[in-house]
Amino acid sequence: MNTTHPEKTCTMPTTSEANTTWLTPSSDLTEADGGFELTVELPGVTPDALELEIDDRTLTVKGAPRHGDYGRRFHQELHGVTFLRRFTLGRDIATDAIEAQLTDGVLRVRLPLREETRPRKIAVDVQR
Amino acid sequence: MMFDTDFHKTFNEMARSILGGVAEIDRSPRVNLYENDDAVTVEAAMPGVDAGSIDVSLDGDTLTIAGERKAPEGVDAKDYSWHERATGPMRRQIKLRRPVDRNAITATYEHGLLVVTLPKAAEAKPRKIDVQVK
Repeated sequence: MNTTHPEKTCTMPTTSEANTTWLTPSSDLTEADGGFELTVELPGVTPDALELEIDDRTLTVKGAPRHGDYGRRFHQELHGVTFLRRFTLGRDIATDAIEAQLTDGVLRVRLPLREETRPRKIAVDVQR
Repeated sequence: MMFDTDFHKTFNEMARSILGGVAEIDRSPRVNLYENDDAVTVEAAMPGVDAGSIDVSLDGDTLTIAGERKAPEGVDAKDYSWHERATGPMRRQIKLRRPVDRNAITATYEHGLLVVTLPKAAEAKPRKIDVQVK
């Protein structure tokens, strides 16, 4: 495994998750200053319904969208589902410094690189 | 049924099969449709859409929901390790099979969900009929 890049993980629900209908949310991964930014689409998920967990190097994003009570549902494309996706983080990600923000149904997770693994400029002393 | 969604579904499936599932074409938002005695409600998943770009219109019996998600500024195509989220305009049309009160339609956007409430026109509401007991 690449020691730096986060990777998509095959998201297999665990036994305790087996009775739920899961939906894999779309995501983006971009290289940002000193690390990565992971963006995950979670429409209808409120901050209190979001579960964001890091176990060793596995990042789990889980959350069920909240729907209003609008009466009889006669067509559904996004009901009764829970979003679930797992990612494997590289060894160089500072897992204790991960920050996350959920706005308008979009989760942004900042994944900074460990200080010692960040690229740094080396001053070259030019002798003439 | 009160709506026509088949075209969008077919189009998306076609696009996916042509692109071999590599690129995600998901420009028509997923919707849930609800009905009670007073209103028809459309719930559309539009996460991260610029609130100012959301446009809801009713032309005849066709409800159009549109919005745009701009690509984040300062992020270059080469900065993406993977890119599944669609950017650009998204749009969905729903054909209503119940008359609605056109002047009373309301819409809210919260947690990435657009909720459009279309109160039913008086003639579409269920009505209690008094039984005259003789």
